[in-house]
Amino acid sequence: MKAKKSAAKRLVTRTQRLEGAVRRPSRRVLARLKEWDPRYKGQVAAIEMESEEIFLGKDVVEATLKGWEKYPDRTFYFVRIGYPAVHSRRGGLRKR
Amino acid sequence: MKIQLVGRIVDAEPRFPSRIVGRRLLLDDRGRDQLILDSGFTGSVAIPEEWANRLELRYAGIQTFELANGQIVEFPTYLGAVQLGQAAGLFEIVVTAEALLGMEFFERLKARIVIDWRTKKVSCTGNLRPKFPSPLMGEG
Repeated sequence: MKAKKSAAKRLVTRTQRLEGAVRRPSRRVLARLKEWDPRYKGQVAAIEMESEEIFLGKDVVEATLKGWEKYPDRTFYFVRIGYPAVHSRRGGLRKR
Repeated sequence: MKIQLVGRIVDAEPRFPSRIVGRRLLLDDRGRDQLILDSGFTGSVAIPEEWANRLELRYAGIQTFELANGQIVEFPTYLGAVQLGQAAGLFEIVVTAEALLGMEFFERLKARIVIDWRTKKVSCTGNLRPKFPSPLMGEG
């Protein structure tokens, strides 16, 4: 268990090094998404972290392209509304 | 546009051949690399870092994955064009240690998948409509 935790920590550290600091959505944004849950359950939300604006799509591609229409040079944090993660992988997903 | 992919069952895994041509991931029967059809992966395309370095990908951000043990992990996510025969589409691509095709990839193709254990072949037929115009696909 400890080894798994440290592997996850390593991943986050590497991700930060590669792509800049990982910013996670604030409690305020997460609360807003929770309010949307019954209506938009299953949709992917692309959260633009500077403005905290949310772009919805049926998948990551659609949500990203909507976000890039308004913020062409920004990146997003993706959340699937009503689910703990955007995707799942049974059997684990090995780190690169 | 209609899509037909043919792969083989290797080590009990259905695998589709792929290659990288002109900084784009191409799935066809001339490919020497392999992508594993993974029904336990709800994402679209996962590729190793070595492939990612050779492809034209645009960084989109961070997304979360739930693993079998309930652990949530974050992965950098990119958008990139995948060529399937004459058709190309924009797909989300995560960089991991493995090369996988997940269920979202096949959902997008509205695919019909046949795994034939007698011939050890796997085939996929479907349709791809490149509905997302994108600078990555030379349409934007």
